[in-house]
Amino acid sequence: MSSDEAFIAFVRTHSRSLFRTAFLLTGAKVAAEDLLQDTLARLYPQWGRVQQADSPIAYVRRSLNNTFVSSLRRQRAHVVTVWELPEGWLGNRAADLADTVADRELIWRLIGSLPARQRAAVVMRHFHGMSDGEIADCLDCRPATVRSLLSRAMASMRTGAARRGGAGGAQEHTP
Amino acid sequence: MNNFDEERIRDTLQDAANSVSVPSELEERLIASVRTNVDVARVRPRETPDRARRGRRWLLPVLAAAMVAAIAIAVTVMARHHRSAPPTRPSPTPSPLPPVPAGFAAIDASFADVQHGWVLGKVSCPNEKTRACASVIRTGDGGRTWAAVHAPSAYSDNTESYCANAVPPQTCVSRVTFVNDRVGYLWSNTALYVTLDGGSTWTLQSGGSGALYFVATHGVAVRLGYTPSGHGRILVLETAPVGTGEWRRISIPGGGVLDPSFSILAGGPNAIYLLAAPEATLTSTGAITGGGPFAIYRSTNGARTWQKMTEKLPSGLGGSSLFSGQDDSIALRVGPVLPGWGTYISSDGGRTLGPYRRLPSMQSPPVLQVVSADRLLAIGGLTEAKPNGPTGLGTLIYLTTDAGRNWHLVLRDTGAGPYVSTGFASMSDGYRLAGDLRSIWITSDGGETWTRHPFG
Repeated sequence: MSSDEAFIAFVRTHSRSLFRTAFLLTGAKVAAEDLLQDTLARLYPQWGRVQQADSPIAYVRRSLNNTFVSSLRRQRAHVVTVWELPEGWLGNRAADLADTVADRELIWRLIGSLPARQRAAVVMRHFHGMSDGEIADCLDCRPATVRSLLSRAMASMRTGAARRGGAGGAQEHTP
Repeated sequence: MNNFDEERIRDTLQDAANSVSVPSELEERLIASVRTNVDVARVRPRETPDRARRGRRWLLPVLAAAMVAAIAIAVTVMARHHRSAPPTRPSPTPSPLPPVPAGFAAIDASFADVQHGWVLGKVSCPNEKTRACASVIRTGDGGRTWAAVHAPSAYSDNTESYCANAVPPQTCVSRVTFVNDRVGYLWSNTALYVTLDGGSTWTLQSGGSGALYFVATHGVAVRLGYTPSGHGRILVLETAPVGTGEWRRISIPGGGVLDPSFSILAGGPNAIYLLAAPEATLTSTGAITGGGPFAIYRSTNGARTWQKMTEKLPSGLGGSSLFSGQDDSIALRVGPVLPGWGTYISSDGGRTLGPYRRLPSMQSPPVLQVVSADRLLAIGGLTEAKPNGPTGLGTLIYLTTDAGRNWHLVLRDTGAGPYVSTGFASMSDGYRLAGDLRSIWITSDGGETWTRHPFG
């Protein structure tokens, strides 16, 4: 299989999963697709190296996170991203699920309010289950910095939740 | 936030990822735009302001580069006109691929895609003629031609996942699974070898024993197998990034321990499935007791999280097994319920099960190959009456295209081949090892017709 064929096979197999990760990072479908395309476009000329990786999907996912963090650094001055709710939640307003939906919406918005690196760290830890070292590798920082990012993200979300009176906010002041 | 809150963050992220709809034709758009280097604005109707600006930023450098390239090409062409043509050198003849070894007997097959397939077989060991050693062959043209590739120094056995007769068992393999055209595994309940280069080199993974079921998808390998514990052996679920030996035990969906008699792992390109009775406990004597009703669990993120799909499964699951397809279709085989076996088919990953459907009458528990929720193959053993008693093993393959309402015979294969080694690399392209152990059946029409290709 040529490098080009391998690329096509990879995109057909993994693009949906990568799109979902990109959506968690960007909070918007258009931005997610842009991010994914940027990432693949950067990797395509060196797809042979991606193929050589122990886990090509992990390699691309790491690159997706890197692209996200660096693109936000560039865009911060002039791009405002609208943090969207996933469509699947919009029609899900049954009374018995209302509390769950409201809870998830709040947490989702709290994640969206985090700075890019903190959000990337939260997604990598809690969606991909990555270790401090793996996240550090991805964000090009030390594991101690990752712990700090996650700690600050949690503190920020805790404060936000307490202010809005949900998602465990009542427990925030428990010693 | 405490752990409880972290769990809610995990659930929220998972739920958000599952709830966002993927844009239609995303894959084709990505492939087209990246391969042809076309700006996304011409491929996708929407664009961000930033991308448009970036495109304009690149315009001048790209034009400059194009001019430089054009000048370089012109100079090269002119130079060629002023030079005598070099003597033609014969292109090197490609060295012939090693042939399939004499006496090769197929055990298991795996196709990473429509073109690239591998067959694990056995041959007489060079220095121990009474034992069988592993041998691997591969095809790059959809099964039409085959050549030998390197195989690890391992014994081989053809008793499904087990290596019952090999000594030492730690170096015996009986199954092959390839994730793509480079990364693949040779495995059994006692050993696990991995290749990262299409079979040129193999590495025996430490802690590689114990796999009764082994699937690889979503960038991770998942295995379900035994591990020693204080009370004997227990069944555990482990994952590792594909191609690595970094196995990590993960918690059992539903909690408790797994009953080895009734826990089945199945995998497809989109999800991994586990059929198990949760909350069973291990007694001091090593017995498994209790356990809730059987449930189908599904993971779409490489076994990181699991979702309980079916609240209440039908009764009569004593001989149950679970088979998954190329999409989210699965089939739960149940029985035997006299006069035979049956199945429940799901098109939504087990959330809802279709009605009970009788399977064709077989003389052994049929293995199901799920192509889609409508199209399934039932593969079973055939015993032919002979003057001295029922012998002459073979295999029958039945096909349904209406979700099990009707079945018709599409292949009657003679010989003692393993009837489990059947698979599909796409919705139309499938394979099964032939009963003579020296050839493979290939279909390109979803199992309607089959063509046999000898290995060499």
